Amino acid sequence: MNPVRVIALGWVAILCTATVRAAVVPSVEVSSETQFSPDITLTQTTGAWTDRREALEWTLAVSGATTSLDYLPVPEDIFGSAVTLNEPRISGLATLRYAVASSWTVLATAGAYHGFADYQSLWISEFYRQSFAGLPGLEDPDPRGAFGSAGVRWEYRTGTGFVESSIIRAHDVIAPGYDEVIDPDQGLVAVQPLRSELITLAWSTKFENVLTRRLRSQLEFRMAGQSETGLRLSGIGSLLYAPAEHWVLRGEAGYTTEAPEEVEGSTASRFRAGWGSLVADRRLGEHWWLSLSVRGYRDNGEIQDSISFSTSAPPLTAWQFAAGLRGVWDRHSFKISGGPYLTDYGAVDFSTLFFANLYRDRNFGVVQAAYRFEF
Amino acid sequence: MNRLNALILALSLLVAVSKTVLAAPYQVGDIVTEVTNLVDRATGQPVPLSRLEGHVLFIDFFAHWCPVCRGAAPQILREIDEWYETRGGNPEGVPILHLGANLQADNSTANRNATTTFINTYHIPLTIQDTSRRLQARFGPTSGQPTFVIINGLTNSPSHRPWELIYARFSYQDSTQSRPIEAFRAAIDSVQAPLPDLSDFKLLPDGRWQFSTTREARIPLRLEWSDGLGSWTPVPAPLPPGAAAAHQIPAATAGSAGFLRLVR
Repeated sequence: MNPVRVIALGWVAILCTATVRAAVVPSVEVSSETQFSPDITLTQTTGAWTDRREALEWTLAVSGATTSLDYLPVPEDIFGSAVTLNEPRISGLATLRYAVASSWTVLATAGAYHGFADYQSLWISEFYRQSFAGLPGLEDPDPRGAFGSAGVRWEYRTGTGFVESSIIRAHDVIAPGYDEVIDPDQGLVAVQPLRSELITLAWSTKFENVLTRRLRSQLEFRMAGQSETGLRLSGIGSLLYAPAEHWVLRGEAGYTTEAPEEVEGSTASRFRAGWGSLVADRRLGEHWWLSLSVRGYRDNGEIQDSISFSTSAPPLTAWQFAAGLRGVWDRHSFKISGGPYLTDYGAVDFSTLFFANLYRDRNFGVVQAAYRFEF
Repeated sequence: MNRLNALILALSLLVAVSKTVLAAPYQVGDIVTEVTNLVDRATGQPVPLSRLEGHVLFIDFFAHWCPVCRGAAPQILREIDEWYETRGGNPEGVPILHLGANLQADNSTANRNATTTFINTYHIPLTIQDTSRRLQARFGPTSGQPTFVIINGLTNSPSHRPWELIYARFSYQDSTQSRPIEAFRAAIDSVQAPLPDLSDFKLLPDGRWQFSTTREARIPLRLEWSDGLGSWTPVPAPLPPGAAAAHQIPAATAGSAGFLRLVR
């Protein structure tokens, strides 16, 4: 499975969560994130404007991102060469919330992006570019996509019970893989791009309940299907608990699974992933909050698209730790956080050995900063 | 009736043409006749049969641009070529000859150089051209690469006939995810060297037989005695592996006249 697929499904997750962020007054927010390791640096800066006119509230967000990586072929790739790649990505997201009645809100989201969705797809695209340079059929990758969602939020218990359901459709144009075109007397004469367009349809339903004065729960189910792949099912549960006046704890656990395509001879196993996170917020005086978080993730490897040659990632275990400081004043708020993000991949097998340097363990540093001003 | 005869004639011709043009893939145990018609990529000349004889042939159909071929090549070098080179051949001492079978035409400088780089990088000692894929087609599908073939090149092996196909495999990793190297080695190791001959028999004054083996045996061999070729009795004096040498056994374990033979 192409990592782009994972990212495309990731957009679904972003859309699902984006719809619940409700700004109270007109505001502008600027945020920036940098993730870096010795050979990979990812940056993203986002500017968002939120406003309201009577029952209609909207957010417009624009992001600019860069991916910089040192592509390094494995020794088996005797014709490959090390090269530094720099790719930009821009994206935009619009979110609308329209209160049609006291307890009903209609939700809509639309967005688009242009550029590689992640560093994995950029790496894989460079592998193909180097492998088939100069051959007819090799395309200049131009990954891009657009997505939209529509949903409804029902406040079935005033102030304490909500249910929200959305459908999402995403259309992604990805950097393709290739098949060789072989002439019986010449050998390789051209390459044929494989699937380059993905359609994702997803449905999400989320329940939020204020259980007690100190306890709030959220339960979410997602179903996502993508072109020629199996259905991905996810369940996510979270609890927000305030054990004391200046303490807030948030815990989340999730699980997702997807069956492989029914292909004769395929031994691909079902994809399974689970994750959990815990965040502790402590108020420090009138304006400041200290935040500590840990997040763990584990999967059993992406579904392999081929027995003999595959770009699919091996099993991954990842941990992210962060410490953050948030300052909140009447009209301003500021947040900065940082910490390590550690990836631990399982060993690549023969089919994925050309991507051993892509799927090697990395220790990333992550730094985030955000500023928000409310008018 | 004339139309029926014409139909039968046409069908017969079709079958004959099909057999000629679309030769059926070889099965393990078949004799591979194309070994007499291989073309050396380096010289463009036919590979003399004498270059192949006396070896187990390990043929690797590859193309320089094929990622699976590139992935397999260092493993083949390390775990087949070097493995058997350091051991002086298979367990019975039969040397291995790795033949690369190039599937990519040298139709451009880039292709020619890339194929040469591939060959040099992985020290392939002899490369034949099969850009038409006609030879590869005899061992499986031609829609991809690599294909691996193992053929017995011994003319007097007790285990296999000369040029007998021992093993053929399309692609490197199959759905079982098993390491193909083990299968390659099992096939290579199945080729038995001919047994040494016994000669120069002499009955010594102390009552022992003395005789010589004609060449090195890499595996322990046993002796059997028969006084009339009817039944064979083990002689409790196994011959250790070693170079050709004179051996002595007590005549009492055999007899004063009869036949002695070597068995595995």
